[in-house]
Amino acid sequence: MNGGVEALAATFMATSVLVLAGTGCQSTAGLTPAEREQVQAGDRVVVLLRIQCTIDGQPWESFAEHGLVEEGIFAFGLGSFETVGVPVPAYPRSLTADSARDGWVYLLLAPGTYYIAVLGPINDANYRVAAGDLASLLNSPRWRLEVPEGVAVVHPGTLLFEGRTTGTLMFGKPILAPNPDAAVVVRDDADEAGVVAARHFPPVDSVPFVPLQRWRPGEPRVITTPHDVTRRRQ
Amino acid sequence: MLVRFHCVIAAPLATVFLCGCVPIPLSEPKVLAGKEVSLEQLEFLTPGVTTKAEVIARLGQPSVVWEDARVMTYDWEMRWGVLVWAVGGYGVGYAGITDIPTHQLLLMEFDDAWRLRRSERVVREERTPYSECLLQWKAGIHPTSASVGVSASDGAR
Repeated sequence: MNGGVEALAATFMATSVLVLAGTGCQSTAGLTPAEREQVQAGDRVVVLLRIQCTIDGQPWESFAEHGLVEEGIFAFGLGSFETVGVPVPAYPRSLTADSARDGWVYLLLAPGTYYIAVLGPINDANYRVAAGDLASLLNSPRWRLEVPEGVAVVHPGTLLFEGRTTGTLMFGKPILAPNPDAAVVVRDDADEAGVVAARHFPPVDSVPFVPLQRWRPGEPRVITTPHDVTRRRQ
Repeated sequence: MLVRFHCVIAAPLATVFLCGCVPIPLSEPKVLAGKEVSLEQLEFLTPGVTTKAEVIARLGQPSVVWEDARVMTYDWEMRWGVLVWAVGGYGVGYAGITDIPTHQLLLMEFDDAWRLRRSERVVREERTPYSECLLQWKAGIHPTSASVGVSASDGAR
């Protein structure tokens, strides 16, 4: 009987880990051949975003490698025409472990207008969103993202987050929270984005900077007709 | 052992049979989310004359601006009624009342000079995504609900 219960518990644990791994930040490096074709055809653009973070004034890895995916301290939401600009969970991809440690992630999007929400730095940011806590995401800072046509890669900026420790967890791990007094800065790192793009998305060697625009509650959500609908009309 | 077996069978069955919900329509209107735009507030709208700036000056910032289609929306949620629900099981039970919302939309289309072309107040069906509702309305298909509420055309076509 006990053996049966243990087997059931083990199955549940394994399933949970697989589900969480499937819903966390994806680590697929590079593009598939089909995606590369979409980029070459102008149907998709690589949005090369960088997230940097300090905790109590000290540099902190935004996308450190963890034993468990749900330990990620940043979670993302993306609003598109389909969601009328309201962010729903999104999972940017990383390129390599090194570039992720440096804060680089990317999204593959059709040209158009989007809204990106970033929750963090919070210990369980990824877990919260994966568990369906959309309120946290909707109350997070949000930016309007313009993905232009005619480019393969675009850099919408480096988001500089400031966090602080508010205590320690059971085994001494710090409890992280965003610094409420600090504004999130958008920095132009297009030159570095060009270096990353040249390495991972050749033959791209320069990347335009199209800065994220801060969006605040009460402002209209601006949307544009999806690229595929526009193409169908043409 | 037999008693335990019965409990194992009876508990889920009791849960199934001791739960239920009743939707109750309410006549008293209540705004659940957003800011309502009443028909009286729309009396100033004149197709071909009213500009986007005038609309914003009177009604405030819109919820959504579909830029390339020159469509602007205001949205809010009204209470249609309440759902009284109860779930009961073996020695335990829960009950509650939940608002049933209707998704109200004021849709406005402008011409190239951002002068009002047409406007309409509609109720979006729960199963129709907001974006789909916009695409339908832009294409001239009336995206209203027949199940709850009544859509009101403001006649500004």
